[in-house]
Amino acid sequence: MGEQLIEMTDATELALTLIDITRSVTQGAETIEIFTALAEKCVSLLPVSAAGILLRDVTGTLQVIGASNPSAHLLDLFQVQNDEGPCLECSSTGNAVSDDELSANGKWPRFSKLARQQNFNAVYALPLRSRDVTVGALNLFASESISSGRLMVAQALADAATLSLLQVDPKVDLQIVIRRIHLAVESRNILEQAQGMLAQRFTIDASEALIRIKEVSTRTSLTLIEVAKAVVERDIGSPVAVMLRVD
Amino acid sequence: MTRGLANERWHAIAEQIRTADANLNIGERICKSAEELLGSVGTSLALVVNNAYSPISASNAVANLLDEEQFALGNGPTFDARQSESPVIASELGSQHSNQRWPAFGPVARKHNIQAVFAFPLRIGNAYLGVMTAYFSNAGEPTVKQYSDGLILASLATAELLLNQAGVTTPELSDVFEPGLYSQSSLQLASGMVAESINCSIVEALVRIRARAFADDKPVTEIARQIVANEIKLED
Repeated sequence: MGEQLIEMTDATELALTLIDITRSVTQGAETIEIFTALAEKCVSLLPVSAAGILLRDVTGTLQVIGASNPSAHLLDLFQVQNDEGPCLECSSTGNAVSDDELSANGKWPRFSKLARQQNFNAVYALPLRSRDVTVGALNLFASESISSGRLMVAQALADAATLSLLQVDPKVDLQIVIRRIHLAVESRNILEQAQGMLAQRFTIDASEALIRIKEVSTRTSLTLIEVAKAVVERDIGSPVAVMLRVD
Repeated sequence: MTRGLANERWHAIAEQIRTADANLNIGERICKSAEELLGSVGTSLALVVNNAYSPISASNAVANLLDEEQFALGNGPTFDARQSESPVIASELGSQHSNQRWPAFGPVARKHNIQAVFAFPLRIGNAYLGVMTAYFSNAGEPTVKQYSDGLILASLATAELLLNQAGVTTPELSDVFEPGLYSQSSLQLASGMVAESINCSIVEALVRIRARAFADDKPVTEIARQIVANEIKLED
């Protein structure tokens, strides 16, 4: 092949990242944790500025499940709410979608304008596949275009993360996928409810509240959802109570 | 090419409920449609407030009776659905596994010729509103279609229960027929903010937001947006 896929130093990073994702999948980590980590890994490993994950739930609604940072979250939400953008096309057709010259005259003018305002000139949507069903998309946002080799790396990471939705027995697969996405959406709802409570408590915005939840999660080795649940349920016995002034 | 999951099924089910017997209220229509779609012999909706269960609607007497038996016994798949916060499938009530898990409820259900129960929690994140329970006369695991239809019906029932709690009884009930309405980010954030500022539960916050939307004659998402943007504040 003409293009060197990836530098050697990157190759070690990539291998470690794949091991990380595979380990959390086999250890039964929560869906939301796995996909949030996937978005963050894409940003640290590839020349992309932001990444977001959307999964389609049983009602047919695309749901933002994880994002590397607030701008990716915003752009993902925009696509869902305005029914316009590469990720919608990707998750309904199952084909990768790329646009590296986002323009006002293109296929998604309003989305392109918003993306360019954040200094994103190229956007990619890669399908998340579970057996023969496309369950969602990984969105990558970059300041300039990304090589096809690097997109293959992103697809490999996405495929590893999507394995978390599957079970060994193919007969029950689709049901398990549906159940896990459903529960992931409800977990994300809890996370956002906790963000709302902390935003109000500390007079901060929602993304700042998420950063605080992530910090506490790292310090306590509790999952994001466990921290969020302690906040929402006002669990004063939880180790997070003092850190987040739960009372 | 692989197609993604689509929302045609959601729309078909919503349409079936919308056009069902106009003499029934929305809760009853959801139960009746569940009976037809899932092939159950009875389906019920129960409200759960502070771990106290109360029946809302049921498609027939057996569903109603077995709900009440579960509340009285404190044992059964409906309880477990609330406890585990996820769907609970009792595929064969006479089995050894089932007898261990539901020693009190199993025999009562089988006396009424019920062999399987699928229970779906009605929740929005950490807000637990109730449970939808489908009762079957034959044992067996749910098909993918039954399972996903059950989740879709549960999403409709969740919106209905929230309206019910907010005291909104308008005939249009657009909430129930808007896919993904109650999973929107702005609504989760707003409910957390309200819960914090007036020191109430997330359920109560959602109910207040819904009631405010009705009072102001605005979409619930608009009220949520205003709360998040600090344009309005819900008071005690």
